[in-house]
Amino acid sequence: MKEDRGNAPLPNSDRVDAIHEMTRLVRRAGLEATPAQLEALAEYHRRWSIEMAALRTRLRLLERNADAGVQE
Amino acid sequence: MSSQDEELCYASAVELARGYRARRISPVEVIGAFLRRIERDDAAVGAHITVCAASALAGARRAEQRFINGTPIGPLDGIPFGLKDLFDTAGIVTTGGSRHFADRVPRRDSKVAADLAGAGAVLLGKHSLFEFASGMPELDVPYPAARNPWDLERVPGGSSSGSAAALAAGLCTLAFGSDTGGSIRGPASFCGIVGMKPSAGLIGRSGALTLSWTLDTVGPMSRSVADVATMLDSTAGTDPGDPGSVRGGVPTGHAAALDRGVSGLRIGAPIAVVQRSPDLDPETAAAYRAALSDLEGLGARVEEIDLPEFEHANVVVQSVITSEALAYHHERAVSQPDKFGDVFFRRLLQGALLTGEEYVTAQRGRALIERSMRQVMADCDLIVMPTMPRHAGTPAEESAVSIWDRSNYMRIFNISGQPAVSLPCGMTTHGMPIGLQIAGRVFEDATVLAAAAAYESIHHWDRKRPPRTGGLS
Repeated sequence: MKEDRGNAPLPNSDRVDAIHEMTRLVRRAGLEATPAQLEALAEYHRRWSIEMAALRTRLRLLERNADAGVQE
Repeated sequence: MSSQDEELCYASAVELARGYRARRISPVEVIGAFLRRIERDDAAVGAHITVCAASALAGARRAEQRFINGTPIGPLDGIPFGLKDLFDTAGIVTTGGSRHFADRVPRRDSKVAADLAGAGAVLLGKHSLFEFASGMPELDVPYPAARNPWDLERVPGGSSSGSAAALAAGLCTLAFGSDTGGSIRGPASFCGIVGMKPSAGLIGRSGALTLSWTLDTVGPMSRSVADVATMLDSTAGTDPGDPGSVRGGVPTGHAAALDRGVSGLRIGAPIAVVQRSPDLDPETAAAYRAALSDLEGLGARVEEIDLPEFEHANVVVQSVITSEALAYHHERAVSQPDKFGDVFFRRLLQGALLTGEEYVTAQRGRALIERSMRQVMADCDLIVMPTMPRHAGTPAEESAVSIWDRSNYMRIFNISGQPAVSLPCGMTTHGMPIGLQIAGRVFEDATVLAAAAAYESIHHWDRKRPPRTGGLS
């Protein structure tokens, strides 16, 4: 069974908001993107955010363990 | 093309050097055979951006004279090689596979080009690559997307695609590529050749175009482990122009150590990590198990291990590469975005998503993985796993899979800076090569190569050739 790490497509209701956010981030970097590029970027960002959240959780756990003197 | 040409084009560097010394063959004869073969087959394979016919013949004549005089430089004298077209070559256009650098002619050689030329090797050409060494094959750049010589409908992998395809098609003897997240080892696996990502810092990167300052590694590619070791010996060393280069105490003697074998070595096999891959092909899994058994038969002790932070390698490498690539190309991305191919420009846009805090989190993840891999290597001398979970697909099959759904067994060694080599370990029923990856401790590249040589000596997958080498069409 494939692990669920956000393989499901982005729901339509969230798509517009996501593309709006991508536009903001791309412009923040001084760049411009086409609608097709923004759409692909939104999907990439959704998957990237899930993986980044997993990494943050792992780092926080290690910090907490270190604070408590627990060795992995 | 004569059968003698065919044999010359598939001979190893070791065999050519032996022939030169015995005066059975000459460098001019060999370069001539390669130029005829490139003329005949490269349109189908798409391995070259530039072919250096005139300068290669001149170089071959100089090498030939040295052999006549009894003063050859060393084991690479007169041996033909190609460079991924991101290594600067003085007076020869270096494009990075991009329209941005279509007319860029460097004044100086990269460290790698200078080292190989200094060893007497003869530059045959500059190899095609994914634009600026990242992404997928591009259709909207003015350079060929290389094809896999084992099946021209399939991809050769990337980004050192032209180099791997050229070696498999017998269009060069040696090549040099770059590996930031698997760009040497992946194509080596898909094309059935040997490709090595050495320890980070072992080979200088000055004069090689940057994708990621902190992850880029450059390394040798060939059809045999011995040739890769010889190239490593000729290029390893301190590079004052590369801040990441090793300083002092450079390991040497990789070729001389090849016969050490694996007897008594502890091999870690991350079997559960591999089996968890949703895209693991059963034939690859079977070839992997057989390779572990072969290594045991050679006297190694194989033990199952875990790679505790493996699941975070993808997000760390993606975050670091896209951020650093955007930093490197930012001015061009703002002022002339249309000169990038769509695939690479999308990679740059991915880099725009990260905040500084997120980049630092990725670097903390990297430190975590490095530490974890040091602990793993305290209990084993080598790690052995497949290079890729499956054989090469068609362009449509490859581009249909998201980067997040694609298992990658290579990136963890880019993060840890460990040496890792890919070499052939079997063929699928589709007639496509399967690659085995052997990784070792940092700066223990010689142990990795000795294990690879021992494994290679059992099956000699290196002697297999694509079915249509008599005339690609």
